[in-house]
Amino acid sequence: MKPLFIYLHLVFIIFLNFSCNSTNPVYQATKEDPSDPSLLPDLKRVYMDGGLEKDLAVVSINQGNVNKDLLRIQVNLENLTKKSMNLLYKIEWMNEDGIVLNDSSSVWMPVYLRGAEIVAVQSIASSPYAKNFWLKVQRAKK
Amino acid sequence: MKYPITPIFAVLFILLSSCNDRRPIGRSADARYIEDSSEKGLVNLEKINSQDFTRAANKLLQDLFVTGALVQAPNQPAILHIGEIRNDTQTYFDTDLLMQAMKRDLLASNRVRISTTEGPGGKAADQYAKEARAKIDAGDPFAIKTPRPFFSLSGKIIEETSRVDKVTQKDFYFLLTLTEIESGTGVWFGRELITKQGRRGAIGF
Repeated sequence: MKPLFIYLHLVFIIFLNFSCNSTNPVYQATKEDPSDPSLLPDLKRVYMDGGLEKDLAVVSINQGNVNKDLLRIQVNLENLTKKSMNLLYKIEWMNEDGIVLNDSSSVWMPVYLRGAEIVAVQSIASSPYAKNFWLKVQRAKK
Repeated sequence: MKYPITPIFAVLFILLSSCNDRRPIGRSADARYIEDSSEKGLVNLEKINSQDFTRAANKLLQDLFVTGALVQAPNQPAILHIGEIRNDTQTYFDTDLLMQAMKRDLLASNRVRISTTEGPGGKAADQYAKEARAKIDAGDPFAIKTPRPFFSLSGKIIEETSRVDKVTQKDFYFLLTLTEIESGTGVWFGRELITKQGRRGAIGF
């Protein structure tokens, strides 16, 4: 009886520990080669296990210029599940040395993906010095 | 004691209190710093939060860059005058909370320089552009000559409220207009909508 009692308590504690686990891993992507000017640059993806890697895919990133020299990107996100998802994304721009530029892009933006939907999110660098970016995606609070 | 109840409940208490990061109970002191526009910030239905200003500024600027209106100026970088930005919402705030982020990014784009020595003199949507245009038309010798702003930016922020049962929806419209002073015409009309829906405010989003 006593071992069963302790066992049940341990299960309960482990359950609590998992249920209140507030970690929310961030899925990240950037250009493999920061100086790659092609329309469809190769991507480097960074993610943690238990994150979004099974549910979300960055299908591709298109890039171009507006206002002559401001880099513009379009990220195509695909929901790999049948369920809709509320996500937050942020794009941080970097110069050619990899230094993050402090501009208004660095804010979490909401995006809603329906089941199996592909959604394009866009951003334009505010500085002509921006050559690369970090795309960061995480689940929104439920 | 037959069973080790006390230690188990002590562990339970520690676990419960340690994993609960944002629930003020009684006198618990939980003030902390959060990063600029963090997803841990407060979300209020009745007002515009800091992340809303940053989002609106960012989206409006991106729309402005996409239209290419700024590169139409014959001299680059063109001089931009910041006109009146009216707050037509129910809460008071300084509209520089929106404009300062935009000014910073506009300067960084190297497409405009921003005039800080001239200001609007009346209550027209963009009184300064109107006056400057009137002086040029009248051949006023005291009309501003150099450096004269090529563009003027003005606008307003509007709030709309809808309610169904206990759910409230707040729509905050950020409406900006870029006027080319020489021709007196609008060359960009920006609109960004921030919508928030819920029953009450929340911590984080």
